[in-house]
Amino acid sequence: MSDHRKVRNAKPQQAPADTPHRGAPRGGAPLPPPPHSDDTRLAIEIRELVEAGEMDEARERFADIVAMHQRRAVRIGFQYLRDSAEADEAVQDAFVKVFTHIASYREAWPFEVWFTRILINGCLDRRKSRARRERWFVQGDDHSQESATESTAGRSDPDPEERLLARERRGKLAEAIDRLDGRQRTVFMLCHYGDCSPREVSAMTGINESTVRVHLFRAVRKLRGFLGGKS
Amino acid sequence: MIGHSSHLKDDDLFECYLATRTGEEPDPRSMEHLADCDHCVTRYDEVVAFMDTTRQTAEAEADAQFPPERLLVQQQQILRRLEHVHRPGRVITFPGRDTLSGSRSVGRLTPRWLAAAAAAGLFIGVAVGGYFAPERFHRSATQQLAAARPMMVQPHPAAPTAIRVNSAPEDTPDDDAFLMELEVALARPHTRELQPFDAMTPHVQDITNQGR
Repeated sequence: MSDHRKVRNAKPQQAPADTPHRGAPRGGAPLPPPPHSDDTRLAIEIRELVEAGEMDEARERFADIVAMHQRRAVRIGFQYLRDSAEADEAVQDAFVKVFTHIASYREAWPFEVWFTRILINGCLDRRKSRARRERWFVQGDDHSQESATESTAGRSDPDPEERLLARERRGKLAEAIDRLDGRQRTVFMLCHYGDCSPREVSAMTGINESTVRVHLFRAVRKLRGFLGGKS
Repeated sequence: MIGHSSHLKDDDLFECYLATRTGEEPDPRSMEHLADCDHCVTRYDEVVAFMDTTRQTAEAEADAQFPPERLLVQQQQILRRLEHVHRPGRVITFPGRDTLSGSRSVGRLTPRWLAAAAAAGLFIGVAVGGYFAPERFHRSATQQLAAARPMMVQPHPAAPTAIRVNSAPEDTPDDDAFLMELEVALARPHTRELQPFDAMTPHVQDITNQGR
C-alpha cells in the first residue's frame, strides 16, 4: 500500500505558474499562468458563494461540476474497486467531500487534480477496508456483478460470441492491472483512465514527474507482457 | 530510405505516444526517426493500438455498469446529500428545559396551586381543631403515654398480670390446661381400630402427673 501513503501525504509540489512548461526554453522567463479551466473557475465561484453563505446558489452551481466530472469519476472508481455499487458510493462520497471542503480549495492546481486526489484517496481507503474484510470473512460468489455487466453490455452487443470475447478481454485486463505494483497501478489508472498528464499525476500523488513517467512506462510494459503482447 | 544503426527504444516510443495524447511537444529526434523508419512506425502503432484497446475495453466496461440513467440517479443522490451540508442539525430540546424558560404553561401551574392550597387547608384544619377541641387532643396524648408507660417502666408489684403476660415460663400451665382439656374430651377414642395407637401414644396428662 505504498501508493496509498503517497497519495494521502502528497502536497502540491509547486504551483503550475512557477514550473516551466515541458518544451519551454530552459532558463527563460517563466510562462504566464495558464487560464483556469471551466471547472476550476466554477469551483472558485462556488467557494465564494459558500463563503458568502449563499448555499442554495452554491449547490446549484455544484450540480454543473458533478455533471462535468461524473463520467470520468465513475470510470476511475470502477477500475479501482471493480464493484459498481462500491464505486457509486465512492464517487458520491468524493463529491460530497469536495463540496464540504470547498473552502479549502486553492486554485494553484486545477480543480480536476484536487477532485481526483480526493476520489482516489477514497477508493484506496475502500480497497484497504475491503482487504481487511476479506481477511476475516469468506467471500460468497460474485456472479451478480458479472451478470450485471453482461446484461447491460448485452443491450448494445447482441452477438453472444463477441460478448464472450469481450468479457474474457475485460477479465484478463482487470487481472493484469491488479497484478501491477501499487504505484504503477495508480499511475497507470490516473494517466490512462483518468486522462491525467504525468505532471498532474505528480501533483496528485507527490511522486516526481519523471518517476511517474517511469512507473507508467513500466506498467505498460508489464501489462503487455501479461496480456500476451510484447514485453 | 535512410539506414538506421539503432532503432528507438520502447520508452522513447512510449514517450512519443504520451506526448501525442497529452498535447505535449514530443522529442524532435524521435519524431524524425519515426518519419523515416518503418520498423519503428510499426512498433509505435502497436503501442498505440495496445493502449487504445485497453482504454476502450475499460471504458466500455465502466460505461456498461453506469448507463446514463444510473448516472442521473447518482447525480440526484449527490445533490440530495448536499442539501444537508453546512446546515445545523435540528436540536430537539428536552421537555424539562421548558420550565426554565419564561413561557410556562397553565397546565403545569394548576397542580402547584392545588398542592399549596391543600397544604394550607390541612394546616388551618389542624390549627382550628386544636383550638376548638383541646381536651380531645390532650386526652389522646395522655392515653398514648399511659399505654407506652408499662413497656418502659420497671415491673410494678401491683400489676403482676401485665408482667405475667410477657413472660414465657408462665405460659406453660395455661397451655397444659388447655391440652388436658382437649385430651379429656378426646379420652375415649370412638374408633376401635385406633385404640391400640392411642394406647401407645404418650399423653400430656400422664407426663404432667409424673412430673408432679
